[in-house]
Amino acid sequence: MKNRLEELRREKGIRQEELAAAMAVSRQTIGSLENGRYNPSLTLAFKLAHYFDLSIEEIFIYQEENE
Amino acid sequence: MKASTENKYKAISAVWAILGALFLIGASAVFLMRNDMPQIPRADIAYIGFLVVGIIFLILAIAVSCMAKDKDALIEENDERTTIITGKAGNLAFLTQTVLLCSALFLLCFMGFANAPVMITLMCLIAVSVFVYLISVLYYNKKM
Repeated sequence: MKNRLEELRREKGIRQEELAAAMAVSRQTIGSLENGRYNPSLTLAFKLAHYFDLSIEEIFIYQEENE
Repeated sequence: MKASTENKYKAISAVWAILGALFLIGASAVFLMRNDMPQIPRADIAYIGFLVVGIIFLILAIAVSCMAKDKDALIEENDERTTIITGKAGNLAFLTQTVLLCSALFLLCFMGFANAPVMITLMCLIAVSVFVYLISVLYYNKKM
């Protein structure tokens, strides 16, 4: 799933480690999220949305998988 | 980190400590009764096995207890991505282990290597593993 996580993080001027600490996850999780290799749980998605004061849809872009 | 997570680790640490203590008590009992156990081939050094296992379990209890106090370690341990990865890897490892162990048991039996202590140990190992797996599935089915 595509997302704007890296863009939003850089706009806020914080490192992956800082965002990871704020979300209580590992830095590798934030890295994988930004690369689109991992999709967050609902709880983590809501936490991220609340952190950036945006809705989940404004951060994560759902696309239908092409068969 | 949530208090419930810390309490969970403290409970796990307590379980390891109790198991370690039980094995140490077992070591003492085996050591004291070493001359009265003719059914054990090496009753003279059997207590060493219990002692080593008990010490390892106590070390694990201390390690888990230290982890409960280290916020970064708790985050790494409970990280959702790590949990998914270790869960998937664990499932695969369990399946591999069970299939290979059952196959080995069957083959060894028919090859005539049916030594009673070894066979019983392997069968108990398989039975306990499968039992724990089934109980876990029932528990998580109910919880989720």
